[in-house]
Order: sequence, then structure tokens, then C-alpha cells
Amino acid sequence: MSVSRSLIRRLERICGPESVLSDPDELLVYESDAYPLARGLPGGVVFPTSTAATSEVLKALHGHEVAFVPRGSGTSLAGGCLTGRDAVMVCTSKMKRILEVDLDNECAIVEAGVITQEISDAVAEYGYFYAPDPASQSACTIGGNVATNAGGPHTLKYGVTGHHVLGLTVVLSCGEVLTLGGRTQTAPGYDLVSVFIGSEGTLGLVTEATVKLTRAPAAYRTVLAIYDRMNDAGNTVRDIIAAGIVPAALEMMDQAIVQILEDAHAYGFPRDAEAVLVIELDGIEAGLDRQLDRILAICRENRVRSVDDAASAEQRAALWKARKTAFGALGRAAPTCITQDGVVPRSELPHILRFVRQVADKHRLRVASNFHAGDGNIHPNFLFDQRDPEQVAAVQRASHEILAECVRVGGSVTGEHGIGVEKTEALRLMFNEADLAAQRQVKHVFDPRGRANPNKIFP
Amino acid sequence: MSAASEVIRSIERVAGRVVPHPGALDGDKLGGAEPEFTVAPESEDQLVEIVRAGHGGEVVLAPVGAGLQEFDIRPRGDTRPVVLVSTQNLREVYHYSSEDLTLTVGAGLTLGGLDDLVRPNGQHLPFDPPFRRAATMGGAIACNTVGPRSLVHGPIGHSMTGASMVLPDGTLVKSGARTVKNVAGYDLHKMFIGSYGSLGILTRVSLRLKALPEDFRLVRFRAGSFNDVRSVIDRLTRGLTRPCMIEILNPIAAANLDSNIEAGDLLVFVGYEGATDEVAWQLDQIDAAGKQRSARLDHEDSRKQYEVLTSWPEREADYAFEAIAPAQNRWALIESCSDRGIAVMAHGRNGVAMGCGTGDLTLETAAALRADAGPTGSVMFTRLPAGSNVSRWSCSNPAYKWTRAIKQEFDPRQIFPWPGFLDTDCES
Repeated sequence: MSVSRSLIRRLERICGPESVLSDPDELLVYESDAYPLARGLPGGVVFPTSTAATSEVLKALHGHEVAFVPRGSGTSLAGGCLTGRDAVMVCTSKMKRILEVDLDNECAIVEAGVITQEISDAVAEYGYFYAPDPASQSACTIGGNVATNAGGPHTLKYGVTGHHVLGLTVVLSCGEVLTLGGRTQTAPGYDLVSVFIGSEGTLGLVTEATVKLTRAPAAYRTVLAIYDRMNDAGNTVRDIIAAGIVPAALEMMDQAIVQILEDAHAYGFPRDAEAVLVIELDGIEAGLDRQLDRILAICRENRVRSVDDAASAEQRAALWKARKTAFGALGRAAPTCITQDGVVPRSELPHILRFVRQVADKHRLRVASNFHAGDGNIHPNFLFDQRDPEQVAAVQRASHEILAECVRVGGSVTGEHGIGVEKTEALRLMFNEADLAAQRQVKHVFDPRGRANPNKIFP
Repeated sequence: MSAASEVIRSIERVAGRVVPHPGALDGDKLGGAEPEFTVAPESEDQLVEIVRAGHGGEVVLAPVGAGLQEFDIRPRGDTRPVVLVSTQNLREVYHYSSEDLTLTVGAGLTLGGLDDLVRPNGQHLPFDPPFRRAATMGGAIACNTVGPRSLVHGPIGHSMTGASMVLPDGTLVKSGARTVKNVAGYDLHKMFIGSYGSLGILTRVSLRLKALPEDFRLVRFRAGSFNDVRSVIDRLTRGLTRPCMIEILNPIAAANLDSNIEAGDLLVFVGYEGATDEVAWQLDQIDAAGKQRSARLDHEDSRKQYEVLTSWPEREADYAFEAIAPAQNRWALIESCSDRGIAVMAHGRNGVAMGCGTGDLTLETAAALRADAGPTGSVMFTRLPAGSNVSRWSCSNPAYKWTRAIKQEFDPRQIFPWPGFLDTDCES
């Protein structure tokens, strides 16, 4: 059903006219997210400010048989926030309160529109932080993180969003409010919290999350390891993991992305190195140096050129700033960038890195990679011009080949960005029709009419 | 021949052997279930065929691993024959990469068997439910029991990356992946966590392993009061150390563990794991703070004590329960148990406490425990005295409506067990 004027007026009565957009010029801002190859103008955008208001909004949409698309900050890299004129975008950006910090239970209850970094900022004075740290953490929202089970560099030690969410408040497409989990690590019954996490808004709209707080590390050791050969960097990652060492983070950047970063910011990275590793340990001060020594020994065994120590807190912050601004720097390198997201077993990292390069060469594409090597989660960034259909087609072919190879060697088509609209067909690389049918049964329970973020995930 | 008998015959044709009397496979391990028949498929394919034979709903198929925990099988008033489907033969190791610290095993593999496979490589699965070595992977997941080290490693869901399962219609499906990160599709396998076999049967499970810590040490504290215990825990959790486990034993549990302690004393065991120097430094912090009535255990004694703590509650107890309570209610629950003569061991900071008692369990006692757990807590009786009319499950979770909806969607004929949390009118 299309979005009628009467529905817009109803939404305005629920949320206030200042919280509803229906003018085409205003809607243009919301026609895309961070996935550049698709866009769609929503039929309207509404900004509820509470769970109760969200429930009323979804009831109204339900009554008018109109679908909804949840949106946080719109940082989805897979088109998870895209919609069309027959759906309303429900934006959580005005639900941005940290409702409670509960140190006795080591958790915080936050609204879905809270920016991820703000949770850590709010609890830092108590000696805690919120561990998941997607690169976009200063812009993305907790609701979005839940939708894609977001990770980040420190996932290696601390786990993904799903390891840090104890409970959810969800509004279903019929408007019913569902409370799952709570303040404890487990709850009786089916683990529906885990089913909703990573469901990309296709089961309902998350309005609140109870997130686990983690004691902040007492100390850090952060180094930048520089390699003449990417293969050696990949082997280093493989060997560190195989040795049973779990750094807090183990990130890789290739030469292409280093050069782009240097062009943009002149951080001082070596432009001639094929790869650099950012390796971080954290925890109790005692023992960190010995662990670092073990890692450095592995680096030397794999022909590291040099290792720079980020000895001070400022140097550490600068290194992480450089790593996390890589995506932004790509915008200077080409009109269009697509960040691919695949996962392989860590032992396959050297192979998949070579494969990515071969595929890029084969399709004559420029690619720059910065990724979570310790998890085997690769992010080849394709740099091209989407105004050229041949380049677009080449990127799509190359992406498919890389994802197929990830699956072939025992991996996944997505580690943290989700399926969105980008990879609905790629899901078939991992699951057969029976697998997908079972997943659709879950959707049928919570969203029988298919109105929660339609056309996402399933082919 | 009745329809149910025909189904039993069909299952027998598939499996080759259906045992007509309960317990004939291993009487001590079937918990409180009352099956009429037992079958033990030899393979995943055979299991699929058994479920297909039974998917008409004439019988109830109840999956069982090691049978360490009682579970509800049929809704009240349901008189269909029950066939226990033992997973004990599904022990295959489908994939193990010590390089990648990933593993996929048959759901019937015991955690002890898993240990024997990975520990020689200096690895482990950081998951320690009670009676760990005997528990099967599938059973432990289905019961979702947490152990002491869940404080830092989380419940089993944090280690589980994927699974294959047979659904009530006999379809074999998979979800998740082998890799440590994956967000492709829904995590259907996570729905099976805590499902008590009600949605289907796990056949294989993919897991992420961790390196064995270099050292593991326990510190034992004696405390004369609950206030003392709370003070110890507050100092530990807000201080410089990072415990991997905190186990609180009320006076009854403490006395059961150590008959030499003073009457009324509580015991707290705090564990540290990691690099040797890291652990040593943390132990020194406790000493430096001058903690009274504490004793460090050496590595070997720590390991032995840990085995004792994870072999709890006592199997001789007449009833046992697992309580989930947020911090605001946890102390009231522990103190209330002490007043009632119930032994309790609580996992500090993760909300879970296990208790056990002897003698009769009255409805009043069960109701009082549930009230103590608080409006957002729950008490689930893992063992009940014979003939007890106490409901196994609390009824306070509004999400149960949606667990019923899931159950109805996947198992409309109620082929698989019916845990009490699916009831609409359970009594406390």
C-alpha cells in the first residue's frame, strides 16, 4: 500500500509535525545509506522519541498496511536502510537517551538511537566501557549495531555486539512491544535476544537495548608492524592465532589504503610497505610485555621490516584514529567506494588476500583493504565510478567471486555488515532452500505480513 | 495396531533397535523422564529418518544426551507414548582446526570427549556447566546451564558459531558458520539454546575454542556474614584485579563442602586465569590489600577445587534448581535459601545461582523462592521430588507468549518435548 496523506497526518499527530518528513526535498536525504549502488525515496520518514511512540507509529502503519524500514544513522554498508515509496522509514535518531547505568549488574539500558561511542563516554568515569567498537562508532547507533551484530577491531578479544547485549525492547510490525532478556547473562526460554541480533530489522524495530558493560583495561601495548610483503603480514596473523595468543585487536591495512591515508592525512605511515599490522594487547599490566615479546618474535619470524611502538596514550589514540578514518579517506580516492565484507578461517587469510588481488587484477579494479585480520574478516574496498555501468558490473562480479571463495574455504559472505539488499543472492552460497525456509518461518512468527524492513536478507 | 505402534515399528525399521523399557540403555542417566521406548540412532541420517517416521505426532520424540537433567516431555493430559531419542552415538568430529581454534562436532559428544580432543593442543572450550565431563554438547546447549567461568567467557551462546538440527518435519537444516564472525541470515541455532529439545534435535555444533590459560588459581575467602561477602565482591570487582569466576556458597553449601568451617560461615571462591605473571600479580593484590580469612590455593588444589565446584548441586539432593536473578534480588534469594535450609552456590555477577535441598519441596517454598528472585528473575527446578506438584518453571516472563508462537510454528503437532515455560497456566 502506498503512503497516503492521511497516514502522514496520523504520524504527525503521534510524533508531532516536526518529527515527520514527507516533502520530497526533505526525503532525498534518506534515499540512500552507505551502500552506494542502490537508493530509494521513502514514502515518509518519522522520528519517534520513545518506545510507546514507536508502538503507536507501527500500529498506524499496520492499520494502513504500510511497511516500515528502521534506520539509525544510516551507516549501513549493505543497503540495510533502503526503502521505496510504499514504505515509511522509522528513524531512531531522536531516541538517544541513556536511560540507566546499573553498575550492580554491570549493564546500561540505552535507547536505540544512542551513538555507540557515547555509551563508553558515559561510563568511563566508573572504570567501564562498552566493548564493541565498529569503525563508525562515533556515528552509528546501538540499534544499528544490534541489527547487524556489529563488530569492530576489538571484536577479536571482546566479541561482537551479540556478546554484549543482555536484553532488547522491540516493537513488532503490528505495534506490539516485546521485552526480551533482561539484566542477567541468561534468561529462561528460547534465546530470542540472539535471534533478533543480526536480523537487520526484519523481525521488528529495536527501541532499547540492555548492554553489558566491561571493566576498562588497565594497560595497553599497541604496535604498528610494517611488512614488505602482504603474504608475510597474513602469515603473521595466522601464526599469532595459532599460537593461542589473543590480542585485543589485530588489524591489517594494505599498501593501497596506506597511500590513500597518507594522501589524505599524512600520518607518517610508510608508503612503500605492502602491508601494516596494528596489533594491540590490553589487560593487566603484568604479563603484557611477555605477550608482546611473543608476538614480536612471530613478526620477526615472518620477516617484519620494523615495529613502531605506540608508547603513549596519545600515540595509541593517533594510531587508532588513523585506522578508523581509513574509510573516510577513501572518499578522496574515487567517486564511489564499496566496502566488501567477507570472512574466512584465519588460516586461509594469506590465500584470500592473494585471491582478492588476483580478482581485482582480473577485473581491472582498484582495491584497497583495511580489515580485521585477527577475525579473518576481510574488507576489500573497491574504488570505481558508479556512473560507468561497466565498472559497476565488474565490481559486482568481483565481489561475488570473492564471497564465493570465502565460502568455499569455510567462511561467510558477511562478518558484520549484514546482507541488506546487497547480498540477498549471496546468501544462497551458504544456505540451501530448506535452511532459508526455516529462517523464513521465524520471520513469519514475528512479521507474518512481511512489513518489517522488506526485501532484505532473503533472496 | 495403533497409529503410535505403527510409528514405533517404523522407527525400529530405521534404527534397527527400539528398546521397549525405560532405562534399558543406561538407567541411571535418564533423569526423571518416563519414556516407553528408547532409540539411539547411529548417524545423523538415521536420526533424520527417525524424526520423519515420527513427524505425524502419534508419539513424542524426546531428545536426550547424558540425561543429567530432568525435563518436561509432554503437556499436561497428553498420553502419547514417549520415545527417548538418545544422541549418545552422534559423536563424530566433523572439523577441527587447531590453527583457527574452530571445531564442529556431533551433538552427542560429551564435553569430556571434547576436552580430550582439544586440550592436548593447549586449547579448551570455556564452558563449564555442572558435571561437565559427562554432559553432551547438545544437552548442555539445550539446557543452557552456565558455569562459574561464564563471568568472563559468557554462556555457551558466545562460543557457538553454528549448528545443524533436525526440525519436527524431519528437515535437516543449518545456520551460522564455522568462522568466529558471521552475520549471514538469522542465528536459528541460537534459538535452540535453552530450548530443552522442544524445537528439534541438534545434530552437530560449531564452536570457537580458546587457548588454555597458562595458569589458573583460586583464592578462598571465609566470611562471617552476607555483608562481608558483599564487601569482598565489591572490592574485587571494582579493584585492579579481573577475576574469571566468583562463586559464593551460603553456609549450608559451605558446610557441605567443608565440614571444618565455622557454622554460619560463607565461602567465596575467586578465580584468576591467564599468563602466569598476570595471575601472580593479581593474587599479590589480594594479599597486599590484607584480605582477612583468605587462602590461596596452588595450581593443583585450584584445579581440584574447581572440579568440586562444577560437580554441584549434589546428585543426592531431593530437589535442585537454577535461579536467575539480577543483583537487586540475588542477595535476598541467597539469604532466603539459607533461612530455609537450602544450599546455594551463586555465580557472582552473572545472575545465576544453583540450589539444592533434601526432603519435601512445598508449593509455599517454591513460591517464596520465585518471589525472592524478583519480578524479572526466575527459578527453574532441574530436579523435583517424586510426585511433586511444584511447577518446574516460573511463569513470569512475558516473552513466553512468543516462545509458544515459535514452538507452534515449528512444531504444530508437538512432536518434541513441551517444557513448562510454554504453558499458559503454570503454577508457582
